[in-house]
Amino acid sequence: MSRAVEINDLKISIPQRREDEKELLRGVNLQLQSGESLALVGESGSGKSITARSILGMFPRGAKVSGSVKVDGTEIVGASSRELRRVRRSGVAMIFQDPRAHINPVRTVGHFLTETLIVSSGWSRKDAEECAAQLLRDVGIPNAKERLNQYPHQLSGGLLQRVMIAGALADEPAILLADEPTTALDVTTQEEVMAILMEMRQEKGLAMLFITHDLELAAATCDHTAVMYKGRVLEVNTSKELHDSPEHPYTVQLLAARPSVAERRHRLPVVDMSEEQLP
Amino acid sequence: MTAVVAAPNNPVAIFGRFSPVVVVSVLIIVVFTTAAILAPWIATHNPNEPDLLNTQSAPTGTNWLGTDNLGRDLFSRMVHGARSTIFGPVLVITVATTLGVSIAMVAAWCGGIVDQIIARFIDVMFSVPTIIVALIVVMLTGAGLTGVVIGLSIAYVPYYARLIRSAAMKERSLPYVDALWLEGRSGLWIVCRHIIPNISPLILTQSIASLGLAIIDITALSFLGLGVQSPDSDWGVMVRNGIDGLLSGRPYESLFAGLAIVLFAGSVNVLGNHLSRRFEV
Ligand SMILES: Nc1ncnc2c1ncn2[C@@H]1O[C@H](COP(=O)(O)OP(=O)(O)O)[C@@H](O)[C@H]1O
Ligand SMILES: [Mg+2]
Repeated sequence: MSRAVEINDLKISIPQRREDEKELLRGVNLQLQSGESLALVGESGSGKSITARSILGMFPRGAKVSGSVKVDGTEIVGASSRELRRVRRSGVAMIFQDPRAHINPVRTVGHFLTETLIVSSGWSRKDAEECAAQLLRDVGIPNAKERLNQYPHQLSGGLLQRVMIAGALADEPAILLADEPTTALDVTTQEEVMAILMEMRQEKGLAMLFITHDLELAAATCDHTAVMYKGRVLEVNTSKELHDSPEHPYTVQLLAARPSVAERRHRLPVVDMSEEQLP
Repeated sequence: MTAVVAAPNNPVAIFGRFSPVVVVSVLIIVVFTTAAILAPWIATHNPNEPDLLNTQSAPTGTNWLGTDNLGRDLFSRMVHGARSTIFGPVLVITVATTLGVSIAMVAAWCGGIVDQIIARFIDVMFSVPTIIVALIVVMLTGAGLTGVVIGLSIAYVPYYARLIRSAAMKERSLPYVDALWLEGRSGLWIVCRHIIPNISPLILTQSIASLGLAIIDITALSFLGLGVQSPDSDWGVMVRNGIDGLLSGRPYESLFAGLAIVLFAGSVNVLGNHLSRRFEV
């Protein structure tokens, strides 16, 4: 199996005027094999989104970056903007927690989907529209043709997230980065969107980095799970192993504090670790 | 914005319901503009031909608005003068908008030192009154419509640049711009295809609001003798030319030209206010 994404000792910090610099990532190591799914779990603020964006070469403004991020063998840290555009266009796609904020609100769904095809793949408008309709059908949206003429605010959150997934798949990427794609949705919609996502992944053989703060969901959907805490990856294992015999005390606490089914919580409980417990 | 989105092809949805005042204003704008375009066919006389036997005439059957101090037909001079009075400001706004939007986009997109330099430059230009900037340019180019148009175009740039820059900054910080960036769009594409279209209601509103100002400024410069030159006419020139008559009980030239300026600039302002309320900008 080849490595789709390989992150080695990635450190990102933001220099501050007065205080010490703010360390966002403190040496992240992570591997994603082609075709594999990897869950990245951690409480909010632990650096999951930053890690995902790093894979696409988008670092916070003014950040100091060291280490290495390789996507299909291409080094991302320090890559030229032309090279970054190539990776972003063809290799890797990303979907986000809040589709409403991440799609231009004054453009139609059709425009959102066809723009990618026209710009990245040089399709004609007519072919692109045909393809966009097919993409919508693929993610289980009925009346695709009509949906193309609608605006984001006319669609529910769940539908819009499917549109976002369709858009991500338009470029036929090999790697999909999903940053908490179901967190903002209600429970039933969550399950539907998750099902579509898994189906698409299976069908297209995508490698997927799936960010969540739900250990259960991670275990249920991904081959491997990585646990992140304060800018570090503490533990990576197959989801089953990690779930059944966690090694790191933080993971143990996370599992112990796991929200019960009866009382679904949407945030992970905050678990405090002293510095010496960290690797 | 929501209603704009809902039915982009329906003019009522885009421009909102017109109140009677707005309807009258739009009518005035349309009538005056049409008259300006069709001036050669509408004019009853040659606007520059004097008739020394018929000077300072009151409105009659042949000279609908009377004649000026050289016996030229005021109606014909009004409709011909409408051309520079209306299209001069339109040209000023077009140039100023293009320049202002470009500068604002460069500043908002590049940020950092580029943005700071542009911001300081805009501040400096702001501290010089519009008319002074125009006067300096006219001094360099010589009196005439061209100099006035260039001068005012430059003078109006900072107003656009400042407003559009802050709107573009806000737009660019929205997550959808990040998402486009992560899809591999180029900066130029995002600016031209997403940011500018999304703030176009603001650009349109600002343009129409400034058009009202540009009409006043351009007629003021003509009134001062710096714009359109004799024997051609323009409403500002006519207001000035009619001053003698005004003082000797024949107020027609200044009156009609002044009225036309007030009506037209007023209508443009009413429309501008309506649009800015409509787009909540
Ligand atoms: N552009 C940025 N500039 C400065 N700090 C940032 C930036 N983006 C994120 N951070 C900080 O980095 C930390 C990790 O953020 P993030 O990766 O979004 O966490 P997560 O996705 O795990 O919730 C947070 O403390 C956040 O405040
Ligand atoms: Mg996040």
